[in-house]
Amino acid sequence: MIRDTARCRRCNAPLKRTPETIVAICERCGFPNWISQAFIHPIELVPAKTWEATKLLNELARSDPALAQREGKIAIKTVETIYIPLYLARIEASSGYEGVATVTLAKSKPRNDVKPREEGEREVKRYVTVKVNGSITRSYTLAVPAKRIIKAGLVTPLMNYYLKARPASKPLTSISWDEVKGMVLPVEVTPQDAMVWARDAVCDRLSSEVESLMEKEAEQKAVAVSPGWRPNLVIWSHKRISCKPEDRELSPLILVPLVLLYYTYAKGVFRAAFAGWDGTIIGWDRPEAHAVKRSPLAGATLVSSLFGGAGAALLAAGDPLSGSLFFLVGVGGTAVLSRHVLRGHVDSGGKGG
Amino acid sequence: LDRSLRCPYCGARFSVREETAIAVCPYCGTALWPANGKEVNEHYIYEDQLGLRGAQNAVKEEARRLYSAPEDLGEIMTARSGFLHYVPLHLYHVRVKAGCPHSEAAILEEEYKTVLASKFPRLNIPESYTFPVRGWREFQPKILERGMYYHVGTRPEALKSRASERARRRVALHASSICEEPRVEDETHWDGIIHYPFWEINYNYKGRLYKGLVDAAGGDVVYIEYPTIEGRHSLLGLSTGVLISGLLLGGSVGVFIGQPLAGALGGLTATLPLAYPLARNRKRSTRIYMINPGSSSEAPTGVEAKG
Repeated sequence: MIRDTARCRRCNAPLKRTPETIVAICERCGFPNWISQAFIHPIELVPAKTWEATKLLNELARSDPALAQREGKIAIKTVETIYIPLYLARIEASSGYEGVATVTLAKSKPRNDVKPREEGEREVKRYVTVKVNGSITRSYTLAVPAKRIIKAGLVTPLMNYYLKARPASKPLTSISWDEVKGMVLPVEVTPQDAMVWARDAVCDRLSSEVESLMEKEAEQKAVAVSPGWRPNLVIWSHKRISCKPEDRELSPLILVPLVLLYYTYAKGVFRAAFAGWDGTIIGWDRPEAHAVKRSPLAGATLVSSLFGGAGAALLAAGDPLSGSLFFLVGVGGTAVLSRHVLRGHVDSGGKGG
Repeated sequence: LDRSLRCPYCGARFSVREETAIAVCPYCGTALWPANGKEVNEHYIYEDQLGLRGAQNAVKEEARRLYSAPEDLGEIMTARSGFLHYVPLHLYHVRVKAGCPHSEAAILEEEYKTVLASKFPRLNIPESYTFPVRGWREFQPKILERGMYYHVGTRPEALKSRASERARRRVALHASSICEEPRVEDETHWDGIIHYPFWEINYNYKGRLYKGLVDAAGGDVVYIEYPTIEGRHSLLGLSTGVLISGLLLGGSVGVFIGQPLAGALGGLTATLPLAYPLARNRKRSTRIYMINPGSSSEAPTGVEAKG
């Protein structure tokens, strides 16, 4: 990974650091080497259990029946434990909103009111202008990864499952590192930056929640003054939404274990990810048997063979017009269908979100 | 139109396009204002932390873990070449203020932001890639053995609003809770350029060349091409099967018309547009992995909300 230039202050083992690393946790002894005193923050760890590869493979087979059928052909390659550093941020955000909207209401005309010429205009419309205002307060708890670049495909489901399960964490200093050893991703995000990200995310979410709330409120108000009509469209002539986030709590830096099982199938490498504390599977790759779609392949083969064969035979039999037409349909149809034969996606499974 | 410049540090002559915002000596990295040829003082750098060997190892390690990669990829791949690219970033000191007309309350936010200062489509740097804002050093000219420094294509002013976008939105939303029409002042200013290192690594696997790109300061592999085992054998078989079906089915139709040989040849010819992509795909059974920084930089995920 990174050239080992710094050394652990406790055991002198080489440390892996990136330019923004604020604390490098020694992989040999677990000692937190703070780069600057200004960033010091408590660290806790969710202890990872030692998982047997076969147990993880059984869990994978249980979660994916398609994989279970191939179980005999699957071989375990390696199991890795990686600690993902994150903060839990609790933010209370209040949003005030006000707006003026024109709501388009619609109602079906009674059948006998529709003249033959107005067959396409069975609806009547009405426009109502309404004012909405109010305020809401929400409290959010967010998991903020403490590394600048994370591979979201793996870490997001882990964070979602972590928030749901909330396993107990212990101060890093009270843990025997030899029992929980694993690779620790560099910690690059300061507690202050984590709070800024959390505030941003909270205001994004609250604003979109308020927007749908305002739309609903405008529709309800318009329908209240026009019973029997249904809302069709809301257009805002004035809209104001505010968001005032307040920091409530920032957790210690928490190291959450992700266990990766790498296995081989048909000479290829695939992987499955598990929550390191309870072994729950949170995502996996599923090997594809082959990369073609059967129906378009069969269709394209039939079209090309039959039309192409008939076309060439008719040409040889002295019917150039029908022969050319059949042959062109055969070749053209195949060219079009062949675009849909090859599959272009990664088949994968996942849960925990 | 090109403008010719002479590097004050290493003496190299090089030319830049007229619209280049900041010229950079491709050999030693000295940055110059193209208009007067004077050196840019606010010039920083992130050091290459890996070296060629480290970058090759990073690609090798990543290759072992890629979806559907051959199990022997990590063992028998051989590094062919490596090239160090120093891409330019604009560094901004973001400072955004919001206030209300009849109130003394004001909201102020300050942060540093880095934005990629040119486009490098050939390098495959992911669009959402976030660059660091701490840990750079003063730039010291150094002639690269294998590698290159790049010019700054976009003027600092052009990317300023992108750098302060999030902060402006944040303070505006916050100030709206105090008054109806808050006044937002963007005092963001340009603080310099930073050159950021990426290693481009080419490797060989069973006679074919593949490419990887490694963040040389952070250590992450951000892009990698690799062979896969997906349907490698079955696709060639299918391709042959399609051609044989064309021959037989076309011949059968030809029998009805009284021209079996012509029918067989016609069926075979018409199946070629289908058989060819199958056979070609067998050879090029390749995937691309690109790092997905996803939610880490823009907004955290995993949210619990209480009303």
